[in-house]
Amino acid sequence: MLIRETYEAELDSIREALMRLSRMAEVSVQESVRILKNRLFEEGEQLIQNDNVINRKCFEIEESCLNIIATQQPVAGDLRFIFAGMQIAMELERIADYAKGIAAINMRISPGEHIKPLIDIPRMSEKACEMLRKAIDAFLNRDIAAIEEIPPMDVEIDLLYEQVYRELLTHVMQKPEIINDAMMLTFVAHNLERVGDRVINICERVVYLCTGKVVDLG
Amino acid sequence: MTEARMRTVDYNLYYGSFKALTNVTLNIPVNRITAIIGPSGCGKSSLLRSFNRMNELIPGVRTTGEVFLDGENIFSKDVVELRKKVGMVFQRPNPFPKSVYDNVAYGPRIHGIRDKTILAEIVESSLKSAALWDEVKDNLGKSGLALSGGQQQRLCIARALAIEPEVVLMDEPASALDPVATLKIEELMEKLKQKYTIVIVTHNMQQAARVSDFTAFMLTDEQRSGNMIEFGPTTDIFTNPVDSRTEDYISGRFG
Repeated sequence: MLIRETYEAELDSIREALMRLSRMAEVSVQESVRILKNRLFEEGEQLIQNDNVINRKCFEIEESCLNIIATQQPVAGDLRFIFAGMQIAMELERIADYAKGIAAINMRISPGEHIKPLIDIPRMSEKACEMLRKAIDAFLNRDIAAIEEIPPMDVEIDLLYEQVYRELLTHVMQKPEIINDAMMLTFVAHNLERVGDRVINICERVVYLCTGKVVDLG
Repeated sequence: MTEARMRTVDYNLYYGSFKALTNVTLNIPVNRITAIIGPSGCGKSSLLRSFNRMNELIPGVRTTGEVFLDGENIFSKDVVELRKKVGMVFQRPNPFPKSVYDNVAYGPRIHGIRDKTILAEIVESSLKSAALWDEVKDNLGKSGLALSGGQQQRLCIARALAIEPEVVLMDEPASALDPVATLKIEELMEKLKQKYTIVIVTHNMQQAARVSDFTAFMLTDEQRSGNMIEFGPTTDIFTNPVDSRTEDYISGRFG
């Protein structure tokens, strides 16, 4: 029998809430790119509005973490979990903001087909979401070894971003009137590149959770 | 690591045939607060009482290994001299049924100080060090027993300080006090460590985390004998302990 059943239940509920928030952030990123790719304005509007739900979830997690600190005085691994969990909730909220940003950018791109087929941007999104899943799994399982493969994935995203930027620059040089749309797509790629950076922050929190050490993986 | 004021090396303590402590090796850093924590019966009070040989008052007690004060083996010292240097404050405030003044002057008098001016100075400085002077200075003739619980405990601390010890041992000094009196004792400890080395036994882990610079975690083995499991800076013990048993205990998962 657990001595501190209420406490364990509260820790479990924070764990579950983080898992749900992570899934919501991931779906937001995937959806934002689908919306952009298929020029879906109504769904884009919906995604922008739904971001409030994600923000609220993040605040709820923060509140639960503060409550458990105030009432249960967690220490050691539990304290590191709660501290890291609060920061991860913030990272997830920001990741969802990038998705919201992509949906908003979609509305500022000229109607109709894109200036070029979107190939690398969906790749960036897939890669970023895969990174996110792995990082959150590593956090929930306290598995420091599992994050090793994540920073190289972020490097891949950075390379894709540079590729998108170069490609769009070439297009603009050939056809200056598309400059607005090209800039907008660069912003999209930048947002996805930032998602990767946020996941790296999550990985740093996994290291902290597992070792108590603050590291810079960026 | 700070220089050690006291040190145990492979210290074993027996109550008759029962081995209460096994191979305890521990440094007590000078001018720091060291907390000893662990579940009931793990030997933390036995270890604390070893530092001024209080256990010797119990029949059938035997020890092996060494305990040092300033590099000198305490078992080769005169016990009265040792206890002058290593004072003790107990769980329940235990003032003598005497005036506040006489409680504090008791130790110095035992050690031969008769001069009233010197005694008055010692009483005042000890009560000031124990953060009690302002509350009792106008009525030093009042019985120590008439003070509140928190004041009584600070009086006992003043009594311990009056003989100018190097080390103050505190066995659950705040467990019988209300939260405000507890915080006063904790604040006092923080001030006292500038001059004294303090060792505190506490069941209250938040208290250990709040007041101590170093924490020692003890646990019994299969023979129910107390073992030192982990010792380190309090911040490390409470944020990132090395031993999983320490983590389980301080997280409240057993004990």
